Amino acid sequence: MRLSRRSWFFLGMSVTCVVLLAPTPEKYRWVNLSMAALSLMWFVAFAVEEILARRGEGRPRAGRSDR
Amino acid sequence: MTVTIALIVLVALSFDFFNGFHDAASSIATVVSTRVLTPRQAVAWAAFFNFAAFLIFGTKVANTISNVVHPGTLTNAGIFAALVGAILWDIVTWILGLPTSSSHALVGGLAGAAVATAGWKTLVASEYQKIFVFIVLSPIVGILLAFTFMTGVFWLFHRYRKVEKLNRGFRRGQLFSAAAFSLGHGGNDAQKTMGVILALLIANGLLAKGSDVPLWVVLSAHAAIALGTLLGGWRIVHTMGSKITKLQPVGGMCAESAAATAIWGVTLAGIPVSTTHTIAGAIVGVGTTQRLSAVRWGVAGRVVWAWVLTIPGAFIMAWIAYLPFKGLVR
Repeated sequence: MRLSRRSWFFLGMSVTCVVLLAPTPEKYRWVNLSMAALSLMWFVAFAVEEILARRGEGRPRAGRSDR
Repeated sequence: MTVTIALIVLVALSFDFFNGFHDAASSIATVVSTRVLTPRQAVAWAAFFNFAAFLIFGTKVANTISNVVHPGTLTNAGIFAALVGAILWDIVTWILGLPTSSSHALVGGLAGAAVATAGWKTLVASEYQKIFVFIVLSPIVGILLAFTFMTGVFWLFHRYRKVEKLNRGFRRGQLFSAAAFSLGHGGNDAQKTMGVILALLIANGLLAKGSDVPLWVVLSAHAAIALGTLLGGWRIVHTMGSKITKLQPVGGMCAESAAATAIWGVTLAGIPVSTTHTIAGAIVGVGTTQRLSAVRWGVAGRVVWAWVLTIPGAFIMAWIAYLPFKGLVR
């Protein structure tokens, strides 16, 4: 699956937040978790958008003549 | 003894002044680069809110800073060397135009001086762990919040056709976001100096362990950082405000709001973070709403390297500074 660099950028940030969970004091782990969730949400949103756009490009558009 | 303490307090306030001079440039960079305020107006605006921050935030960050080294292990010479190391690092990076963090320079300086005084065992690992984690987390929080705010604004206003009116609104909004960011900056950064002065007063028996920061320390630390901001560091304004990515008023507003949200949160939690890291991350976050190539990664990378080198750089400078001072400062 080929995704844009922006999608991978957000996935990378999500992974970084999760990796940092271990050294983060328990009191502040909600910061890592909320940021990991937020960046994962953006990764999924971009990935879905890109996959749908690619599928759309492959199909002929309805209601449009070739004139 | 009293003269020595007064001298070190003066050096600590000079560090705070340099912090304002060096770091606070980042708080006005976006507002200057979007031409919402002239540089002179922007520094006056930021300086006022840097000072006013004492009305809002407590002294939790100051307590964290005063606890990074086991109480009683840092001598007057050690505290003096820590400040000299941090100031020297700030001056060198200011000359090079690098937006490094004065906060981390101070943390590195304190560590260097403490290790030179009594070895590695003097460092409180849990406090350093917290600081190191947030060195990485604070720019990430800046990036994500700025990106989310910016996307939210696009979604809300993308059908709105009166672009001029909208831009005027964002320019006004940026005044508030810049004020919020400057409040956060004053709140977090001035407290670092308060922490050093608190450690000094406790080390000399002028305050009991666990004491609150005296009001005169709070007011003088905020006054020093505000004065530093007023005199500004223009080289860094340029790097932050225009070299990382081009900003429009809407982008400036979102970057500052994101950074302010992050800094207010950590300040209230008592975590010393770099305001420069956070705003730089937020500017990158705004840039990524266009496309990743809108961010000049070469400049951003140079900034990251400066961050990585700050703690070891200030550590070494403070360690070296301690050697001549241990015989001179008592």
